[in-house]
Parts: sequence; C-alpha cells; structure tokens
Amino acid sequence: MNSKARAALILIAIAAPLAAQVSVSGKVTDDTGAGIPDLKVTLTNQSTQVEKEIRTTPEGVYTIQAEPGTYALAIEKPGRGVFAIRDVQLAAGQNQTVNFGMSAQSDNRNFRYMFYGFVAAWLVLVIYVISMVSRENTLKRQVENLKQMLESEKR
Amino acid sequence: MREKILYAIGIVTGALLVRNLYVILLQLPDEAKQDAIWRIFCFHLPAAIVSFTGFFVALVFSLIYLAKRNLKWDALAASATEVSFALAIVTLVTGSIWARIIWGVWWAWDPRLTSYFICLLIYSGYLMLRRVIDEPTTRGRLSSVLSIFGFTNIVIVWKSIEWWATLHPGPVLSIRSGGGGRMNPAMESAAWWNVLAIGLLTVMFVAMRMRQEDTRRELDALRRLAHTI
Repeated sequence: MNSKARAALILIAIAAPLAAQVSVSGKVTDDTGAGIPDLKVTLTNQSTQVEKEIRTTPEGVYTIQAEPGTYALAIEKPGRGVFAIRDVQLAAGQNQTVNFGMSAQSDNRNFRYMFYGFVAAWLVLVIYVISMVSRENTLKRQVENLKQMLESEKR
Repeated sequence: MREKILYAIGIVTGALLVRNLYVILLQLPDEAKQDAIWRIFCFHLPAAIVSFTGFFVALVFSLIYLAKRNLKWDALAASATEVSFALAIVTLVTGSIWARIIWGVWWAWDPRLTSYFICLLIYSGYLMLRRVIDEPTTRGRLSSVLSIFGFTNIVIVWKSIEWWATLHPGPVLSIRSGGGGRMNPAMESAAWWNVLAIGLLTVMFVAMRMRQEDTRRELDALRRLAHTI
C-alpha cells in the first residue's frame, strides 16, 4: 500500500466517527426575546449516562455535538434550579433544535397558579373534614335527644 | 386502641406530607416544558390514584354487603366512597388549575375529562341516595348496586387515555403500558411518596367516617325503637 492510500485510510478512520456525529442546538431567550449568555447546558446520554457540558454564547446560543441516541438536555437557570427535558432523540443525519424561553412573567404566573393548586387541594380536604366533624356532632346531638325522649317516655 | 392507631397514622402522615412538600417545592427543579406548574401533578395524580383505589375498595365492600347483608360492610363502602369522592374533587380542581396554564382553558370536553365528570355525577348520586333513604337495608342494597355501576365508569376513566386520543396527557408513570415511563424518575418518585401520604390520610378519614356511620346506625335503631313506642 502506498503512502497516499495509507493516509487516505487513516483520514477515513478519523473522519468516520465525526461524520456520524449529530448536533443539538438552540437558543435560550428571556422575556424580550434576547439571548441569555453563560448558562450551563448539559446533554446526558440516557443509556450510558455520559455527560457533555457547554455554556451559552453571549447571544444565548448553544450547540453540542453527540453520537446518535436518546438524550436528556438540562439548562441551569440561576435561582430557579435546572430546566430538564428528556427523550431528545438524535438520529444520524438529523440535527435537532431545542429552544428554551425563560420568561420571568410566565414564571410568576406559573408559580402563582401552582400555589393556587396546592391551596385548593388542601382547602377541599379541610372543608371535607369540617363538614364530616359537624355532621358527626349533629348525629350525636340527635342520638342524645332521642335517648332523652325515650327516657322520658319510659318514665 | 383504635384511637391510638389513628393518632399514630396521623403523625406519620403529617411528617410524610411535610417531607414531600419540602422535596416538591424546594428540592425538585422546574420542568422544562411546564415550569413550576408541573408540581400540581404531585397532588393531582396521587389524589386520583387514591380515589380510584377507594372506589374499588367501596365496590368490594358493596359486593360483600350484597352477599352477606351485614350493615357493617355497607358502612365501610359508604365511608370509602365519600372520602374517595372528596379526593376526586381534589383531582378535578388541581387538574383544572393545571389546564388553565398548559391548555389555556379551565376545562375541555375530551374523553378523560368527560368520563371523569360522569364518574363524579354517579358518585354524587350515590351520596345523595344515601341521604334520602332512611331504611338501612334498602339504602345499603340500592347504594351497593350504584357502587358497582359507578366502578365500571372508573375503568373507562382509567383506560380513556389509552383508548382515545385525548387532550389530557397520556400515560407517564413507569408502571403504565401504552407509553408510560416518560417521566423524570425523581419527579415520579415525589408523586409516589405523595400517593403514600394521601393513602394514609384516606385511611384516617375513612376511620373517622366509620365512627359517624356507627352513630348513624345507633340513631336508626333508636328511631325504630321510638316508632314502636
């Protein structure tokens, strides 16, 4: 084998895995639609648990190269924990785009409604317990009244 | 003894609920697509699971009552149904609040929600029936039949997300077939812990409600006595 053919084979051996790689990219935006820079983005292979980490650019854009597979994508949001999305399918020859909108306004609304949900759940149970106790007291009073009536009838 | 067991269950339930609230509100992150509102799921789903279980238990007690004609079983069925109905209301209210954010509407007439609404109507009919019939054996017999009828609808509610294309999310829990297991394990685990807490709370409520049934049976007996006099 001449040196040119050998070089070509080495090049193919190096380039083949790279060619099989696909990318997941997107933009993380705020309320105004502007990109949020320097957020930690983590792509985790769900079967091997291998992680790749990157930070968003000053424009809020991220791009991560990975082998085809099923991934979990997480974006760390300072002060509000991690935004995680599972089952991102990366198929050979198909680049994925996953954008994140981190609206402070929608955060507040979501948080408010979550609070309403919790309060409503407890309120229903508290109302039920109050009604149960008051009904029991009414029944006990009725029993006492009937007992007294029967006692007086006997006399 | 029964009171002591009830207090013990109460303490364990209280501790579990505090622990679960801590995990749900402070430890778990927001969900990527739903943000903070996903946490409602941790009450919505456990309330639904426990209420369905309660309706099933009521069905079993109703069948035993029809076979043995002992009013104790009817009292147990009535208690389980009433507590499960309260939890079904919790499911409905929390689901509606979640839908307002995710779907933009409080209610949609999709198969899951419609069948659930019918289920609530049937069981509210059950509770009303028990109020209007004074004669215990007739009350027990008719409400047992209604309990059997009501549970057939629970099966439709349970399977509706697999049988029809619904706006309501499909199965997400890892125990469900037909697309289950898509949920983040930590988030699913939080929901299961709340199933345990709400389950214990239900046991406590049913025991409290049974006391009421005992008093009611005593009242029925006294009324019969008063009539004979």
